[in-house]
Amino acid sequence: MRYDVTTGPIDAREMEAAVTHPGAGAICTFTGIVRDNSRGQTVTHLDYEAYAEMAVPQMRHIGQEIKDRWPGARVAMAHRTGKLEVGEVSVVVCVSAPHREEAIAACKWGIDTLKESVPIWKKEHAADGTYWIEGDTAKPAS
Amino acid sequence: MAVAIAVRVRLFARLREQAGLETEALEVAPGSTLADVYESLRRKHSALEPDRDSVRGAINQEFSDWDATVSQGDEVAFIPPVSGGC
Repeated sequence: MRYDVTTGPIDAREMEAAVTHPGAGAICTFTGIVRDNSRGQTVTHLDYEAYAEMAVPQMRHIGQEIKDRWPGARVAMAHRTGKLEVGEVSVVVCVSAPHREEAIAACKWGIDTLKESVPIWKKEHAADGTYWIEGDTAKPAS
Repeated sequence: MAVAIAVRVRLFARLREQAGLETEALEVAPGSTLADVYESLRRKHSALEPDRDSVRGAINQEFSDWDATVSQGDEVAFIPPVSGGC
């Protein structure tokens, strides 16, 4: 199992290789990418900040719960921090499982839970200013 | 009995910008809760978010309730709503 918070590019293929094994008939990989728009505004770039000492253990909790809920699953998660340009990969969640249903369900649950509980924040640099994104709201940044 | 205990406070994202610092060594009374630590920090940094309901606290990298008691040497973090992912 691999859980990373990293300032460098994320290699999804390498993470897939880390979760593959002879009993896994399916791998589902979610890749999150920096989008060029948000709230109807053009986004120029993002800054991600993490509480890395807590984010990695939180990812490990999520991975453990996936293994409890979907027996046989293996998990890899990585989130990038620092300045990211449009089109760059910000997050990858990769789950292998015996069959596709479990792999897809576990991967969706993994990214949804990461977005709720892993202490990482997005600062959006957009045409109308700079904002901290907090859940569903955007608050002006200094 | 100790008259004060020392904790290390860490702030992130918007809270970090409001206070103008990432980390602060704080002395609080023995038996202080996470809520007490936050109020103590707000007395020093008045720009810090007044609505505590929008903030979560963590002790030693674990989310904790506001009424959890801090101990000597704890790392206390105040965490605005998270927004990882994409």
